[in-house]
Amino acid sequence: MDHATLPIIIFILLFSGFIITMIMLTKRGKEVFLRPINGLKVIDDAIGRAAEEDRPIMFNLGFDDLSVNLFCSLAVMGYVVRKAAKLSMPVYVPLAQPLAYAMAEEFWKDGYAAMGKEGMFAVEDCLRYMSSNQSALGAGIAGWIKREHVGANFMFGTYGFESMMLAEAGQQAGAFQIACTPSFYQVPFFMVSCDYTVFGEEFYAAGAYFNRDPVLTGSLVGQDYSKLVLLILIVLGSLLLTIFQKTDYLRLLLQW
Amino acid sequence: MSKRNVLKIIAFLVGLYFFLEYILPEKVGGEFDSYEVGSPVCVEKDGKKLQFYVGNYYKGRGIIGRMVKSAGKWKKDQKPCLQRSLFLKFDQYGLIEPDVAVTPEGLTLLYLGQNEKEPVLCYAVSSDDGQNFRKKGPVVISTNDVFKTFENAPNGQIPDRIKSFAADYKGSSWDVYLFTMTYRVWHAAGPDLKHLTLDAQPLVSTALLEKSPNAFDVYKEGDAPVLVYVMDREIVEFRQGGGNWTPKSWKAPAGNGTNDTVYAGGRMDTSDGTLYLGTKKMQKARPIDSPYETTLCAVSLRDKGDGEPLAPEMTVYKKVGASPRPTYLSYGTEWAGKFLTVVGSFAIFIAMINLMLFHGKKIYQSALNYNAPVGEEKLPGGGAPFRNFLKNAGYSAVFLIFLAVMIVCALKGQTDEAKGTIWKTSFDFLFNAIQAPMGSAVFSMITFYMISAAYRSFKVRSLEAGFLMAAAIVCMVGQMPIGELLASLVPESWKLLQLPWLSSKLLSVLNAAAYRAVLIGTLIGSVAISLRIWLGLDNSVYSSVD
Repeated sequence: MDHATLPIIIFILLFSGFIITMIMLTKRGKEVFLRPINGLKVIDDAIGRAAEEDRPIMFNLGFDDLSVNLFCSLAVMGYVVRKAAKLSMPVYVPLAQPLAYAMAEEFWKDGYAAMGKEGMFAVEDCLRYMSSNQSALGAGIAGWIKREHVGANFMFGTYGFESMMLAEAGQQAGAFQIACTPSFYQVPFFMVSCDYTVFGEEFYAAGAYFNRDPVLTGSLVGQDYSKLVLLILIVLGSLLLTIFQKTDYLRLLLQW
Repeated sequence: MSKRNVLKIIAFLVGLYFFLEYILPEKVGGEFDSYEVGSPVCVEKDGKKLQFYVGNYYKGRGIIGRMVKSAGKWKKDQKPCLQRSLFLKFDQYGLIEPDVAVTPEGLTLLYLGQNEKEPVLCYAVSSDDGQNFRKKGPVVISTNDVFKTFENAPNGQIPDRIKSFAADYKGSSWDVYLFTMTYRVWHAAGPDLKHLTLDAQPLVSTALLEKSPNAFDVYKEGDAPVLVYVMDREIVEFRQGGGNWTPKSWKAPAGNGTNDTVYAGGRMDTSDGTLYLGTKKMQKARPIDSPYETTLCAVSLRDKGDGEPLAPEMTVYKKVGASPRPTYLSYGTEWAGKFLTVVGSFAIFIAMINLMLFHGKKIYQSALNYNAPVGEEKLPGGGAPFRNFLKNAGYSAVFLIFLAVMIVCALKGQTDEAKGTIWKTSFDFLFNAIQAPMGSAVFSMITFYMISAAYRSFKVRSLEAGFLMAAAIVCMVGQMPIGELLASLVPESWKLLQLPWLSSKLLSVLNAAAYRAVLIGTLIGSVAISLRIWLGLDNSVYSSVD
């Protein structure tokens, strides 16, 4: 394992401080404003549309193994499964990682059980470990989307080149598609093929939009303060470096 | 205590462990040279032969170890004698290319410190016993205002970036030879490492050394310097005589393996004869994380004078890729890695069962309905029974057959004895002739998907779509030969109209700025969620517990 350098330790402590402070403040009742994110607001509409058309829902978890990205995606999946269970609809979950399979199964079962619909759909029919190979995963999911004529296709998590295959297959099947990913390079592909695309840190904010838990909203505000600090540092650093570029100590300090 | 709280406590402890492991300063122990060894230098002090070498415990993290020769055998110290600085910039990323000399202070060791942002810098340390070194700061070289390029650098006014160097201390004066990135050798001399003066002209110009040698050392025959290095697997001694430099070379002694190569690293005259130090790289096997199986420090002992090299005397041998333990907590990291591997293996097993259940169920249901009369089919489809079966469960059957065949072939064909057997041939065939081309075929399908997506997105329906369209055209045409052709028609002063220039600016300025902004947000978001999970604040993670 590589080790943290001093600046990294300082920034970790600073950002953690912002996030924890804001969580504590929101827990004590501080009101915070959350900017609406269209892609997350329409998740209910997507489920409703699929229910009206009597078409199944698919929730892709991407290529994430046991990681924070997977937990983010699973939090949203839990919400989607509960909503779908309420409407007695199946949610298909194709998986690329064996460890993610075990976790997704728990979330999936829990979602149906929460609505009293356990046993309504067989796990092996709805959750399928496809492959850890990108080509096989893309081809497998594309085939599944077309065969089952999926009505709403959610793509959350990290993706590689298979994003194009998934999103285009959903587009051709006429599914309502929402992509939410931290994979920057896949964003253009999702944008051209999906109805809504959410990316960057909004992926990590997704959980907070479905339940206004003070912990989640507080951490979002903490994130914003951290970004503000970085923004100020970037602007200040650029200005100082431009003005005092010949001063050696300042140059060294800014490079640090 | 509820199950959820127990899990939260376990998650917190595991997270705390990894956090501490990350922020604690490393203290590299006995396996500091587990990744690779190299750049050996040797010195004789008070009748004791000492060898210093660079040991990497991680790729590009060199620290310096020591060996002592006693009773005819080289013995390695268990701990390194000089480690990289954790918070000081100059050698934060490792130490390379050491050289050593006996001085009135005891031993003085010079090395190049690596840093991510700066060129390598030459630093000095000294020690009485060759074990506990005191850092003495950078070697400073001054010139007669010839070179201005690096005037702010700690090494002073050096002519070029240093690639390697050699140092010699005789008669209360230092001779330092710098081998630079432009393949020149410069000489600097002075009584103190802080006050060295560079010669006005290079000792060896580009014409003599056309490419970079693998190791570099200098020793003196009388007052004349002799350069020693390795070029094309040959040890070369380069002497100046009658105004010309004359090389003399011989093959470096090889070891037992057929492809072994010995790279010399330095030379020293001792009471036993002349030592040529080097590293030996065996290329028998290639693990994934390193091109070499083992790396050895070899010492080739030659008679004084011009005798042929004797058999190499091996000193240090390490298995490359052995896991280093840089902190006291590292034992746990190794254990956690193994634990995750075991859990992952079971998860693969569960995932396989899921696949077999799904496809097995499909085949079973289709078989049950095999003789169902046409028109009363219980499954979608209809028609002749066998066609029905194929339609409903054909892919599942193919999948299960290939799964079984692949597992058997892989298990039986992956042993050393299996070469040339039907199992190995079948496995290779299935992998190289079926899976790999099918993967490529699927990958190539993306092109068609891209075309259909591009057709939709390039319809200019709004102002934003118009910008997207314009940027896409500029980037595409700018990277095509026709873009270059069109640019040649535009005057040089009108850069804004040159599509390749515009395209590169769009990508490297606008796109890079947006990408960094997104990246910062993403990383802070991942810090936030990691913190929530670690501190047990995020209940959504534990939603299926209790």
